[in-house]
This record gives sequence, C-alpha cells and structure tokens, in this order.
Amino acid sequence: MKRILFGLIALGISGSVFATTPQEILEKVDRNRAPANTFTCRLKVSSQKEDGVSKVELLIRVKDAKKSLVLYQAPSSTKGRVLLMVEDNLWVYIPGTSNPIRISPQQQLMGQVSNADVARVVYNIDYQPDSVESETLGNEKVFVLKLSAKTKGAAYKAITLWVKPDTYLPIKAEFYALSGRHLKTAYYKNYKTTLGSVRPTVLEIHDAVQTNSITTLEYTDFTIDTTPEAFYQKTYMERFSSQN
Amino acid sequence: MNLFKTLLLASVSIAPLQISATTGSLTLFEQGTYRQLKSDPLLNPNQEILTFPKATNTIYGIVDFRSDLSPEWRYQIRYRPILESTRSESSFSGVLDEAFIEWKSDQNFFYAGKKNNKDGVGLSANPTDFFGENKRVDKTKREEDRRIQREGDLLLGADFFQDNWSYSLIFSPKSETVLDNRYLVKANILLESLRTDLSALYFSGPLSGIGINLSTTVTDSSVFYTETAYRYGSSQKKRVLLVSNGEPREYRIESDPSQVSYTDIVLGSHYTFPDASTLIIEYYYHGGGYSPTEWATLSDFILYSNKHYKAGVATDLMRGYIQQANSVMNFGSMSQQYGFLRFSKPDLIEKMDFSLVGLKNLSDQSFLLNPYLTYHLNDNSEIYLSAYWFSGSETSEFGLPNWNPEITVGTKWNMY
Repeated sequence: MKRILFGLIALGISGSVFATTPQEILEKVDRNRAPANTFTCRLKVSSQKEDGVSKVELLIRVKDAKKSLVLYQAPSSTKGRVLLMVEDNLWVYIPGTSNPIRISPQQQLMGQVSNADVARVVYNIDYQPDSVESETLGNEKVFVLKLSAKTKGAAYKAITLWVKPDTYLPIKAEFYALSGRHLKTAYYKNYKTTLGSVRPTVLEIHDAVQTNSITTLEYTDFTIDTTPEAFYQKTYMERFSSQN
Repeated sequence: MNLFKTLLLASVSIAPLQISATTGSLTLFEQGTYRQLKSDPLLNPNQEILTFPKATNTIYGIVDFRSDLSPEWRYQIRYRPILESTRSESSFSGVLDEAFIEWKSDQNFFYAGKKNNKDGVGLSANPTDFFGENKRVDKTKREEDRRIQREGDLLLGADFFQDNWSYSLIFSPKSETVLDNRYLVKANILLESLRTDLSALYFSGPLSGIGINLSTTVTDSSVFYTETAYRYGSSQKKRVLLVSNGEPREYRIESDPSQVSYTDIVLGSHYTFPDASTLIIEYYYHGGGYSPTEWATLSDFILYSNKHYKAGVATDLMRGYIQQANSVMNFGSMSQQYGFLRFSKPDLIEKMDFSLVGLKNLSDQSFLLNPYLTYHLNDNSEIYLSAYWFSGSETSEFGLPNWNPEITVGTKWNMY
C-alpha cells in the first residue's frame, strides 16, 4: 500500500519521469552497468563464509551483451577453467580433464554467485520490467523496478531493482527463486568513472538465508573488446583456457 | 613419419623466436592406494600367476607450459612425471602428453605435434572419441582421473571458425602402436534458439566411423545429451576360440579377422537440484562389446583354465591361458550394455564435497561403486578419499577383478 501511495505521489509530482517507460529505465540501468555491448573486464569474486574467505579472479569477454567467455585466472586450483554463455546455452571447460560440457543455467560454479551473475552484466536480455514505482530508500527517493524472467536461461524467477532516478544507477537488487523464495540481495557500490561514464564497480551479494555469507564482485580494467564473434563457441574454449 | 617430423621441425624453425608471453601451471599429486587382494581369484589362482602389490604410493605431477612466440605462433607442452613405489621397489617414468606448435591465421588455427584430441559428450564412455579408443585407460577410475592421464597422438591438424559453427581436419600418421594412418573430419554447430549443439564426425582408420554428438538444455535444471558412433572395418575385439576340444583343450585368443559393423550409443541426462547437487544418469549401448554368448565362451575359458591349473594339469599351458585372459580384461568396456550414475553433492559439510559413481553391467548385473570425498584445505590444495567396491558373481565382469575393494587416500596441490 505504501509503495502504491509513493507511486501515486510520484506520478503526481513527477509525471515527466514516468514518461520514461519501465523498459527504457531498465535499458538505461543496463548501460550504466556495462560500458558497451562488447567489452572486456576483470572480476574478483570474494566469498566470505564462517570459515574464511575464498577468492576467484576472472577475465570476462562480452560480445553483443548476450555472449560471454569467462576465464578463471586464480586460484591455481581453478586456473584455466572457462565458462561460455551464448544466449541460454552454457558450457564449462575444465582444462585437461574433458571436453566442454553443457550445463544447465541452475548449475552454480561459485558459491552464492550464479553463472549468469558473472557472465551476464545486463538484465534486459533475460528479464522484462513489469512495473515501476517510486519509493524512499533511506533519505533518497528511488525507482523500484519489478522484473520477471522472460527467457528459460534466466537464473532467477524475479528481481526487484532499486535505481537512482536522476542517474539511473542501480543501488540494490533482490533476487527471487521460482518458488518465490527470497534468495539474496545485491548492493551496488563504489561508483567510478569508467570508459566515459559513472558505473558501479562493486557488487556485494548477501545470502537471504545464510546471513553470514557475503560475496563481493569487484570489476576492474574495462576495455572495448575485439575478439571475433566466431570464437564464442565451445570448440574455442580450450584455446581460451590456455591464454591464462 | 619422417616427413611428418620434418614438417614439425620446419614449422618450429621458421617460427619467430621472440617470446611475447609465457604461462604455465604445476599440479602435484601424492596418493596411497590399498587393495584387498582376493586370496583365490579366478584370474589369479591362489595368487600364484600374477603379482599385485597390496599397497602402492604414487607421486605424480602435471606440468603445463605455453609460450606465445608472437601473436600468430605459440607452442604448448604438457609433461607428467610419475614416481610409483611399493614396499619392494620404486620406478620413475615420464610421459610427454602434449608438445605441439600452432599457427593462427585470422580465425583459423593450424597445428603440428603431439596433441590430445578429445571428442564426445558422454561421461561413462565416448564412442566418438576415435583417437582415444586405442589408449589403455582404467575405466573403473573417475572420468576426470582417467582423462587427465592421457597421452596425445602425433597430429597435423587445422581448425576453422565461422560464426556459430566450426570445422576441423586432422591427420595422424601411423606409428609403432597404430599401424595405419588416421584421418578425422568434424564439424560443430550451435542452434542457439533450440539451446542445442550438434557435432558430426567422420573418421578413417582401421575401424572407421561416423559419429554424431548432440546436447541440449531441456529446462533450467536439466540437460540431455547423446553420443552415437557407427563403426565399420576391421574388428578390434579379442576373441576366444576353442581350437580343439581334446584334453587339455586348445584355445586361441586372437583379433577377430572379420570385417564388422556396429553402433555405440550413449544417452545421458543431468539434473541440478535446488541445493546445487547434480545427478547424472547414462545408458551406454556398446555394440562392439562381448555378446552374452561371447562372454559365456570367455567365462568358460577362464573357469577351465583355473580348474586345470589348480588340478596340476598342463600347468604351463593353463598359466599362459590365464595370463592371456588377464590381458583381455578391460573392465567397464567388456559388455554390450551399461548403466551409469553419478551423484555429486558440493559442500556436504563445510569444505567437503561428496560424489558417488555407479557403473552397472546390465547383461550380468554386476556393478562397481565409487564413493569419493574431497576436503578443501584451502583454495589451492585438497585431500581426497576414494573407494572402489566391486560386486557380482564369480564370472561376471565386476566379479572378476583380482582385488576388492580398493581404497585411495591422496592430496593434490595446485602449486602454480
């Protein structure tokens, strides 16, 4: 009720803002999350549990927003492992042991972080915005986007996304399973100017059940990528693996 | 062969010598294995014919090295030093699994040297892995373990990449172990909207083959795959031939001289549970395996040899028969039908993963079970405990191994 009230107030006092459709808002958020449709970046994933912290370092190449090659660079136990995501298709390659193996979108490779969390840096490929509301988060007025899965490859059934209305920078997101269960909450942090725009460079993910479990994703070294599209295939994964 | 080596050396010599980047990795394993030897197995009566150590200790490493000589040229080496010890002796060996040079031109790659070419989507078997079929592998071992310990072939090959599909041409010259030249042509295509990838292979060799691999994502949690090979040519199977039914009987074990054709199929699926556990189930039809009639002949041969050896009848001949029977055994590949199951549970308890592999011979109902526990000491090292337990009647496939069970404790360090 409170959200609806805020939504009505927002409509009344800021009709021009909601002239922007939920889809347009989502696309603007995505443009702030990813510097381009085709780019390369490095990602450090730190998973904090009761027994300590484990760290993984990744090199990510994204093509046309929907194709991703992810190379594990550290620790040495996973070094050379490659994840390939093309639309809803996912494969993993483990050096020396096997051919690339097709895996399901639900098969997680790293603690609380799904494959899609790593390989996808935009929402609008897998999710559609169902509604937008206005809300106050702390002392800040924000948009709240309700997203629902539109592809079979989507890792979550639904996402609630909090967005700064002036800059379209994401603040926070809640992720829900098919059953409707709240799985985790992500906080976007450390906004920096990267490739010409201010973007969040840290994503802090809190598990909704195991509250001590926190995973931090730290993005660095964004560059525009020139990897040929033909290399986003499972038959190229072995060669990408040896580029470690 | 000489021409091939000349080409390889020439390709190395014309490569630019300025090294622009090198990378590598080193993984060390130390494992102790204990086998509960059977006191009087059919294939080793009274433990008198073959000697198996009860306990072995193996230290081995996997060394990977890659160097980019230029943006177009690179070479890659994989070496496996192995130190194996029993109570009475130690032996050291080194296996050069890979050593090849590769040249990249636009989106295409050309390579020459020793390289592992692996094909297939199955876990229990890979009937389309044509270059791998003559390699001696222990199929009672986990697929990860047996695949990582695999020596490559001398290859001259090219991979061509197009948008959403690729194709390869590979030539392997005859050698001391493979008596004919072999050729492989394969193409791989992704059908994005169907969430399916497909590969087709044509193999020319002593036993030629046509293969199809398909894998598809069915739901968010499940994947289905199939691997099929149609084989034709010279049979690779060793057969037992009763030459004379006198006393003692005269047997001969030989390669089947006839031309054969058959089909091998793997059908499999894996499912991911909400807690991240995975279940993999496969059915493997092995047309090249022993039929129930052929297995009955082999069993009869083993029983006859065992009985007469222990009775002291023509002991040297019977000893030879039993040694030959042992050399034929390739557990996990003998039958025509298998069922395979693997359940993996990450984080069974904190830092500990669990998996259970089962392989069942659907013809004689014998099976093996392999529980496997891994405890992660830190990001780069782990300890593991594994057991192989065989079950079946005396003359069934998994009733025949000379020991039961086998237990392994090991550590793995990813040094670099």
